[in-house]
Amino acid sequence: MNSAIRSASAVTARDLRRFVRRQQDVVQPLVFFVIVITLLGLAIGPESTIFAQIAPAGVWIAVLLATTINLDSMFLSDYQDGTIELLVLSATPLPVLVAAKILAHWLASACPQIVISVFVATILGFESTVIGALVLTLLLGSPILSLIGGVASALTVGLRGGAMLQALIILPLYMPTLIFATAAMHNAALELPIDAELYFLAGLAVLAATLAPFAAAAALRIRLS
Amino acid sequence: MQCERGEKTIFDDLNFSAQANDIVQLQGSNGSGKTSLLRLLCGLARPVGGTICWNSADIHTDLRAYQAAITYVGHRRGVCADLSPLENLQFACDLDRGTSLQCCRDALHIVGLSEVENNPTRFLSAGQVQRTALARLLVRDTPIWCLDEPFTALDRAGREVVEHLIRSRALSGGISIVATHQAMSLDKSLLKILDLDAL
Repeated sequence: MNSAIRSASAVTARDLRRFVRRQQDVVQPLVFFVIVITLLGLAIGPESTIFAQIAPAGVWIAVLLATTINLDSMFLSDYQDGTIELLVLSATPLPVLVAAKILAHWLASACPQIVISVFVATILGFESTVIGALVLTLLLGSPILSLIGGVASALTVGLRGGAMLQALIILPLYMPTLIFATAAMHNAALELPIDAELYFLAGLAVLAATLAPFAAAAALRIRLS
Repeated sequence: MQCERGEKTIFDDLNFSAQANDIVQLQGSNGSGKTSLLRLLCGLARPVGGTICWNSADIHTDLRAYQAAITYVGHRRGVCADLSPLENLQFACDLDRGTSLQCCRDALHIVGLSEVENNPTRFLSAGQVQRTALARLLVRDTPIWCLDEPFTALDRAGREVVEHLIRSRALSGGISIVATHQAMSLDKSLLKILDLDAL
């Protein structure tokens, strides 16, 4: 048990160190995220009342897209340099190590995104209740995105045209998260309670955290054999 | 044992055994299945037919215990370009039982990387990357070594270090399975040659 925890923390620490050395993997998705929201603002026009209604959902769609383009940094370089084989041959169960990798990816990509979202939402003039709902839905929802993304990333790692296939696999699976998150922000704008949506998101997060590491580990084994 | 890649049968009716103190050299032309055989022996893939046994039990009955007895240095080296040789080696140790930092430093000294142990691996030569991968053999004390073309990109001094490691592993009761085209200057009494072209 102790050795499993040590191996898992070694994996997380190593991946975080790699993200520090390859900052483009962290920065580029954030810039992409800001640009998508800016495009939305330019297309609709900041003064219209429509923008105020659409923008919260727009932020969430930008989060989904930024997460999708950033998934390659989870397994691809490790697949190419053979580190995945080390993980498979390790004495620690592979799902534990995969969960540690997904955690590192979430810390390096989703956490900065949550912080930037707050800035963006403030600049766009969201109500404080909507900003609160945005942060809560992102805190509960972004782990779901990373976990589902981990499964798709493991399934398509090293495939030609894998990035496109990966997006086609995960975007439909992101729908429930998107629906509950945007419903929560819609309710928050109308000053209605958002507990129900948050409970659903929390439930989805627990479900994803329970199943995704096993699915991703199985997918990696298939890709290696 | 039988192995297929895609639709093509690479070998069937392969049968061999190795005991303690053995060095098995896998020979064969390109595409004869040396890497595939090594991956089967490590349990990274399953044979289409036949079984692989370790201590007279099928390796797939307790794969994790068997894999804990193996150090594999494959065609893909398992060395991350963004990390230094020392960080790479320590990570490989932490995945297993964990070793002290000094132990990793000593291993890098033996393979001749002391001076560059803190440089990112992306700035090192192919031979130095290979040495980084082979340093894993020194810090993971396992009875079986599976090495895929361990001499690639190594200079003469590097070759001698690796041959010395393989020989001393065999003399201390281990098994090394080495896929290579190149002749190894080892005692004939230790060396078993398995030619995949002859099947």
